[in-house]
Amino acid sequence: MLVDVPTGSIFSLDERAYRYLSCILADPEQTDADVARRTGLSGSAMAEIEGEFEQLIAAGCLFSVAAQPEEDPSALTLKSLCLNVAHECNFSCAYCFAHGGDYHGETALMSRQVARSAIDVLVRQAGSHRNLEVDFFGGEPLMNWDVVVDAMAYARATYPARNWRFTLTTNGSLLRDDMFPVLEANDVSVVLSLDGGQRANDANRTFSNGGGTFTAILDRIRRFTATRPDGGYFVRGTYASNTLEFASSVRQLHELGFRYISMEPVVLAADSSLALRASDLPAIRTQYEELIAYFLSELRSDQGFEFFHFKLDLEAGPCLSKRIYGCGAGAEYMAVAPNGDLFPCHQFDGVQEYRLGNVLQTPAIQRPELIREFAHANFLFAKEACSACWARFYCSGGCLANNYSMNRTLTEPYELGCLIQKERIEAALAVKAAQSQAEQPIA
Amino acid sequence: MKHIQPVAVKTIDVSERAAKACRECQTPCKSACKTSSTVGNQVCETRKKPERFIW
Repeated sequence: MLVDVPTGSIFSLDERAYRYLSCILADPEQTDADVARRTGLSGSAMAEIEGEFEQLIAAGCLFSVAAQPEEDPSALTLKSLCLNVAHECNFSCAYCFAHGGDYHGETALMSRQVARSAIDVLVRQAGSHRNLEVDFFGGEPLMNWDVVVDAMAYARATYPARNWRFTLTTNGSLLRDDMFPVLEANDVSVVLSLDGGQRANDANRTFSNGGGTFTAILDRIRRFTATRPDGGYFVRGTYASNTLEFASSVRQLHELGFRYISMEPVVLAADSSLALRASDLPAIRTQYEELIAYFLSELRSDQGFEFFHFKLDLEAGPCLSKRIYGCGAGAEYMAVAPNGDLFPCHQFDGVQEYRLGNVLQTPAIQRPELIREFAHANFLFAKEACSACWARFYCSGGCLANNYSMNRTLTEPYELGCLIQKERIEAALAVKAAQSQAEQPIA
Repeated sequence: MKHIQPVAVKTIDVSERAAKACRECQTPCKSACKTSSTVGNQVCETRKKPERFIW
């Protein structure tokens, strides 16, 4: 596969074109005779291949050159909040970045006043943005369901001109049937945490007594997802060093009846026994290869499902501006702790050096210089390692929280995360290539 | 073409560089990722197919 990074043009090469291009790129100065000798290609085959490359270069979709975009400090304004409505969780998952839900502090639930004030702050800061997003997160947000319901009602009633988009991330254990109509009426997109089949899930997702959570949640999650055959949920797993066979986990989730599935790598310091390591990369590649085969096979047999990493819309993907300003943490997106403290994102909750202010204060943003720092850190080309990376317009500079967690800086990418990200993007592009090559289009 | 098959051509609209982007699209961590930035998996708000939910 060949990607022209500046234009996002993607091509699939046959074996001979691949051999030819690899040889030329290895030594652009070599003679045709050298290329013929090294590739074993005939003169006419070389001329044919070279002609095809020249057509694409002339069309501006191969070996294109683009100027580096200028940084615009005003590009990002707040439009999205994560409300950590519960610094408390009834699970005690081994890899939890939030330290079992309390974020290394006291357990706490957000009050209605804090949630409503957070929504007021969002609207004040958002300017003319029409689409405003609120994510209910924790800990386990369903431990504070009444505040979730109140916050949604308050946002819609108080600011009806805005288009409110709600998401909720839950471990599923407290889901009740009477919640389903409320989630439906508010168009709440729901992320349900489940790591795969019972073995993979219970390896790390446990109650505080160490017991596995799988059997306690499966029926609840299934009851909910059954109400959404056409989407509006993702069952999201995490794979760690002890659950590295994520292709099998995804398959098991699919076999359990779920159609919208995501599986993310754990992010933990290297001294954790569950942390992923560079030595895991070959296994991760193998897992993606297995997953690609299964994914395509299921699509072809009308048993298709959505896997988030493969959900690349090449025709309606993000604009260049979106691709060069990353996730927006600290500028476009912020998190609110139960006491109203504002942090750059949910993973920064509790990191006092990056506490931006408090939604109960006026002004809520007490340290605007942090917004400028994060806006700059979001800019793709502020990260030297990203500037020349082929994957830069897909990952957009990576996760600032991961950078901070691993390197204690915002702009030095988390290297292992980058390597895994590239495997993931390559896999997604391979799926797209396979789909485009299929004689019959795959839905 | 015989040896090179296009999968997708010019998927990044570089002409938008000069324009002020609307930024009405989804924030990546609102999606199913939560712990990694995955802008490439997002869609353009103005070009996407109409969907009730925000993935």
